[in-house]
Amino acid sequence: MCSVVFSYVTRYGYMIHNRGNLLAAVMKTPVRVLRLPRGPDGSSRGFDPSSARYQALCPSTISASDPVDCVDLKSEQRARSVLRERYLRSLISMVKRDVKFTMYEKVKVDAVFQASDIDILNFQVADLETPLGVQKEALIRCPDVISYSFEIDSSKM
Amino acid sequence: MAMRQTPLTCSGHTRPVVDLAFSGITPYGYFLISACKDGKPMLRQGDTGDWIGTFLGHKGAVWGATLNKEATKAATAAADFTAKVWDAVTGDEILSLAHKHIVKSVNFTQDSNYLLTGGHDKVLRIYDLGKPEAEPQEISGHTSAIKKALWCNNDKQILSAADDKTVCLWDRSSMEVVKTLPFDTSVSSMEYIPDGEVLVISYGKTVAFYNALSLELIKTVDAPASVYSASLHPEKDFFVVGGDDFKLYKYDYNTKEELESYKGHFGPVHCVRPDGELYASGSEDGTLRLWQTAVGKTYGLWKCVLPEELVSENSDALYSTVPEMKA
Repeated sequence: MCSVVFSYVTRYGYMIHNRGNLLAAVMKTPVRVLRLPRGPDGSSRGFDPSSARYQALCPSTISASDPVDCVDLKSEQRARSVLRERYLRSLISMVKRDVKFTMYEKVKVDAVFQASDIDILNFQVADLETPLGVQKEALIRCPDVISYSFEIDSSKM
Repeated sequence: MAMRQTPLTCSGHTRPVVDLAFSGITPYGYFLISACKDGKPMLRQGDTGDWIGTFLGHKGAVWGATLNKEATKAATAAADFTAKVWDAVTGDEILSLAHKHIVKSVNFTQDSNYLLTGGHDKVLRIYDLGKPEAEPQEISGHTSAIKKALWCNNDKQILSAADDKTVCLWDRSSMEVVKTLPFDTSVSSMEYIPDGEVLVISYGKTVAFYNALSLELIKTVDAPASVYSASLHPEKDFFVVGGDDFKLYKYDYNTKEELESYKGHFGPVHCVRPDGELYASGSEDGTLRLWQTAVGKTYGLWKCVLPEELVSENSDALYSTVPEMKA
């Protein structure tokens, strides 16, 4: 093991002679850290529903409801579940169908819907018709979509 | 043994971080929200910097962000001409409040029932969050864009800083201006410390402290570079300053002495917030960094190492810290 000999004046004005002398009580040692802060996971927007805080506070954060009446809360939850299931089924029925998207900036495009991500943030589509041509595979950002429509009766597979 | 500060870098934002706010202490710890020009404000655990979630919905740079005391609600001000109120537990957007121009500042009252907004349309607005469809109360008077608007004096008054180089104190019930502070140059940051009623204002290279009720000057301190943000520690022992020399400074509030300075960011430091055991800074470089108030103390992700643990032939033990502090 070679011992590197170097000396320079750090911003604290200390001279570092060699590794053996590093612990000679003149060097300021950096504070140790257990780990780095966790960053975004890239695939979702976070707010983990299994976290202790979410579990404890979530019922009271349903904004539309007045959390005074427990019965009202239950019926509202039921209604939300029905709506959610209906929406998810609508997404399933949309697979491989032609969908017309109306988006911001006066954009209207047609595409064949393939799939959605878990947070309904992106739609995977095929044969996206754009002014520049047909894009075989594309991702559409859901926040950019104002509305979309498709027909259930006819389908182009 | 003297310890060197190891800042914790919180990555995630892709554009400059322009505003930061802490919540109060809740049973689940405390939280930090960051406003960023990438339009995606983030919520983090206050003591570790761990990402909790991203508030998605804004279509422009987010200029201001705040949390209510209990960290159950968040509010953001953006360049898409809206201020939004969010559920800070689920991340859902609760309200979108349309404005006539870029919104720069948002602030909740102590009871979280009212939201104060201010921005480029020069008008202060008070929204009753219990009646979101109702028109907000409007306070006009500033002659150019409002940079920051804060509730003060138990939510009975409002402080506003604008590009017209004034800071104004308004009475909430009469909606009239009570006092005006003129400046020679635009105010870069303004913060209100309820405990002790202190107002911290930065402009040019100066940090000035005022009595928040009378707007009388208490003292000024000059920094080595232009100050973007200054913030006073809750117990008034020290204040932190971030500026366009990419550095963070920590000053003793009583003696005005510069205690520490840190290079760590790769861009001007846009905002600083102290919160007891740590302070946070956000920079043009897109990162947030958390800094310890008492360097070397075990807190959050920082671990106090006893002298015996350091005496070791194995240099790995010594250099187990984050190399990013150099990068």
